[in-house]
Amino acid sequence: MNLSEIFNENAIAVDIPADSKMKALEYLTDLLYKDQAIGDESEFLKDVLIREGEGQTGIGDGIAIPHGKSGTVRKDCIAFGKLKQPVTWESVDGKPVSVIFLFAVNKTTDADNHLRMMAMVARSLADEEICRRIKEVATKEDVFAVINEITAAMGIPAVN
Amino acid sequence: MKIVGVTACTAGIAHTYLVKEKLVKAARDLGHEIKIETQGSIGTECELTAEDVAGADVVLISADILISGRERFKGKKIVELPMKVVLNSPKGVLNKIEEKLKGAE
Repeated sequence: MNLSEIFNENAIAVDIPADSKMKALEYLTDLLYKDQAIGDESEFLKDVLIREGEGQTGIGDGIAIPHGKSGTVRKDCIAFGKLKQPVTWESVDGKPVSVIFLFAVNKTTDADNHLRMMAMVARSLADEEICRRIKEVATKEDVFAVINEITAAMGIPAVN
Repeated sequence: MKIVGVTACTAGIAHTYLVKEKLVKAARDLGHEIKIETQGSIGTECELTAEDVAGADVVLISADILISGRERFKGKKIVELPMKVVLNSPKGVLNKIEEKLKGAE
């Protein structure tokens, strides 16, 4: 198993020109929609915003983990975005956010393996080194390189 | 300190596991024993046994929702920790708890 499986390779963007949290979320949601990982953009965004209302998804140090648990998700996956400039975001340390992991989960998913991979990605963000590396990515390849590092850090033997 | 605890967030996808990881890392760095149960979308993992609870100095609950099995902690020192507090400063939080426990002796 490699954690890159849970990342949606068509929803990975570096250099997103969003100047607000909403625009950043819309950008990534649009990528997910184009990939058909979600069936309806506004329904997905609505569910993401519901979760935003329940508690801060800015986990500190410029990183955020918004999620949409939604009936319109067709493919459980994670979208990744690095913004050109940091945007205001409700975060535990009050700092603006420049890196976003947007989790998309089907409301009634029973795919434990998907949820486990997502949990591993979440856990890896407790590691300062991983957080530092993910903020330095400049290309899609860089992102996948960090994902491979996360896979290794989680003790998963890489299968290529 | 011997610490046990439970984490549980609203969606049960990410914060539940991230907060546990932060607590475990911080506790280990500070030399404490720790076991944290997660109640998330995968179900309950690393479930605390009666033995775990009995041997613990303190029970940490970091949850945005009502956790199940709270009755297991009856009679124990329970500390409710907002998830954002743990994320911001996991070591600071544990140090404060240790201070308080020492002061209460």
